[in-house]
Amino acid sequence: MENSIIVYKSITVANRAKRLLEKVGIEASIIQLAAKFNIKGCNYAVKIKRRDFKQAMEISEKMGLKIRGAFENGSDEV
Amino acid sequence: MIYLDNAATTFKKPERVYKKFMSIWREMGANAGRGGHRLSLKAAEQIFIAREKISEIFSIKNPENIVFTPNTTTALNMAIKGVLKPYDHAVITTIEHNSVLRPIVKTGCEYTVAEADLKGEITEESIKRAIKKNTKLIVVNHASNVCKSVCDLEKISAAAKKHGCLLLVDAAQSAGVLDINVLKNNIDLLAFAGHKSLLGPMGTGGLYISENVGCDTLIEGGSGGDSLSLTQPDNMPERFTAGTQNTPAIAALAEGVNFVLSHGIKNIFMHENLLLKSFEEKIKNIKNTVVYTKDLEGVNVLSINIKGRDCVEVGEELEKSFNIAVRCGYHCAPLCHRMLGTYDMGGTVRFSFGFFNNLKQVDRAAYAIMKIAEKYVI
Repeated sequence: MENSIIVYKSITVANRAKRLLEKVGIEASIIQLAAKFNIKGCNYAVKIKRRDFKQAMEISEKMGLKIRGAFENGSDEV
Repeated sequence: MIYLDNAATTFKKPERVYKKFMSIWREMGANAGRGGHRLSLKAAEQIFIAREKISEIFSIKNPENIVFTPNTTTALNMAIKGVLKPYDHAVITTIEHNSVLRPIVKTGCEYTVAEADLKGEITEESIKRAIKKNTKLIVVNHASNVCKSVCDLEKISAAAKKHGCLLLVDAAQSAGVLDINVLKNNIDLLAFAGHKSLLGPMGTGGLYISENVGCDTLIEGGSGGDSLSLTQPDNMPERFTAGTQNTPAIAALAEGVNFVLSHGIKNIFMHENLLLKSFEEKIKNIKNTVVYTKDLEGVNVLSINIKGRDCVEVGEELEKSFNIAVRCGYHCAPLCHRMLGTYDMGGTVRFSFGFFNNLKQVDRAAYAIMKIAEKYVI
């Protein structure tokens, strides 16, 4: 599995995360989270390359972005 | 038509605002943040870009603290009714619009009106005199929609902080022509119009809510997330964003803000101020004409009357004989008209200049006033 998934509190936070990550050269796209990830309700996440996961988490934490869940071993299918 | 009613809404808008509105509506007119398909995600990104632009112009640290609303009135209602409880006390000023006065009255809380000084200015001292022990909220109109009056936000916010009060600024008339820095000015809540000097479409406005403010919701509903919860989410801005957003208009507002930032707020103010002063200079000595708040330095709004004439009739004549559009009456600001002494005479004729007006139009408006006044020499 090459991708990681970070689930944010809302689509707004996900957009903020995407733009912050792109500023430091991390390729990111927003997805709606599938039910199989078991975080209930409609959720939005940022999909990134697995190699960028640690840095993306650090940036999110540093910028105070609210995270609902993180999957380092995300799915290629999403 | 010479349009001199820019305080109601600016007209025209920059070409790029019209273009942006149409392109977003046509090309990504999906519901923002309501699904995982490409169009919905693109629409949500447009709204986020607008958030960033609004953050830039008001020096807001976190774009999530901005809630888009259909207008300033909605933003003010959300702030006032979300913060005040019936046992609280609030301070407002004589230059407030009904979009503040009516929600304040509706809350049932006690309030005190801080009076303007003889020039028509709201001073820090006046605000301080109105503060009580249980004052929770101070609401100030940054710039009047009737006369030129502008509040000194730095001094007023210092007074608010000193007394432990929240500060709500109504920036309907000032956003886009006066510098507003929510951090420097310690503003807790900022309500703004998108369709006035930020040059966006009608149906746009917003509310900034700082982290320290406990604000209840005015409406609840779908937010695109936390869908299994039967209560509104607690995160910003979704807590205050129930229902479908007006994506084309919000994206076009961002273009309006881009236009303002690229021309410079100071330059825009100076252009409008040049028009205002030129107009004032030309009409101040016309017989039978009363110019209000002459001694004030302020925004692009000037109220006048012609003695012996109903202001609405003056407005009608300006349109019929000179093709000039102005706003006449009370401008939804009854206390301000008490201050000006125009409460019992039907209000005033208000001229408000915008970025797309020019000196030729000012000359024409001054000429029109001279001709109308000439006919009614008392």
